[in-house]
Amino acid sequence: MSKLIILVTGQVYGPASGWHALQFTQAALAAGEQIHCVFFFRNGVTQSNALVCPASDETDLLREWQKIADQYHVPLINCVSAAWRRGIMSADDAKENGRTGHNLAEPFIMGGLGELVTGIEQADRVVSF
Amino acid sequence: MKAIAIIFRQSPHGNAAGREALDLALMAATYEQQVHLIFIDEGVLNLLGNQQPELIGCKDYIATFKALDLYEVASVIVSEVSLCGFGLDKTALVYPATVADDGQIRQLLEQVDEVLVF
Amino acid sequence: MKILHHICSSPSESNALACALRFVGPKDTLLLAGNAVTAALLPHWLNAMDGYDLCLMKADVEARGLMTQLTRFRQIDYAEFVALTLTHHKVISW
Repeated sequence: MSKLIILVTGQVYGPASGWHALQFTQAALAAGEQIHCVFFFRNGVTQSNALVCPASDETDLLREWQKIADQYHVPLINCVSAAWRRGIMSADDAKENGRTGHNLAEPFIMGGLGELVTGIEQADRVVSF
Repeated sequence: MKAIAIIFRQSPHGNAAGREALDLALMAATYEQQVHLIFIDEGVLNLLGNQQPELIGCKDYIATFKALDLYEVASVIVSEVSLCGFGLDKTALVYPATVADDGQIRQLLEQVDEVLVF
Repeated sequence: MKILHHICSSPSESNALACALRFVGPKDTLLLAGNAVTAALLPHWLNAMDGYDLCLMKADVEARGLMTQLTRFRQIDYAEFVALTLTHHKVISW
């Protein structure tokens, strides 16, 4: 069993980055590989926006990430500074920054680039989308 | 400890790629990884002096390149082919990067554990 | 040393394929994904990729209706992509 870290940098709507990352993650888990975490950096943090609301006949990427996290206990980690710059905040972040709303979907968590670096250190491969 | 190469291949300021690549590079260096910065194609323009990104509402992360020695990165490589393509030479750069040909860059890509492209 | 070059954008969208081809080695694999599969329709890029181990993401080819045009190229699913990730020493996503 190998340990992989998945890096997602494309935004939730438009580019297929999130879709490709999801399919890869599912295939890796099905093959018995371990996913250390899925790390969302750059525009990838928009994948965690709970307010993204696709039409009912369209792919709901957020729902798919939630299913994977739920089924396999894969941590979904946002780069917090990339997220704040793009308007993604947890309830705690909103309080800290004096904002009235928050939109970080569960079970995404905020982390730092340090977590990506330590993840890379522990993983056998990094695959970016 | 892992050897990580971070490739800058896009122009500065048109998007956040250069800035976010630098953020990651410095964080990796702070976490005592062996970090290599590689500038290719339009990415070499990140290293030009006399930039004034604040004129177009961007943060001046270029200034940080001047201080790269403080972060103990393993190497800073700039592509000779790409520099020449833009009619530039080493004297135009804010940091004394090592000028390398594509074969040397390929060798480095083989040596490191991971390569991240921005 | 085998590197898997994962290219996700078409040659007109970005310099990803051009950069990968500058640094590709003889034992490496080029994987065209997303809009990058269209590079396999273009004589200029086909010529540049000639001689290298080349594969395309099957789902991206079929999604774009290019099965007939691209039938001669090796096409892989995500399970095979995962396997290639592990049989190569590293993946560079350009």
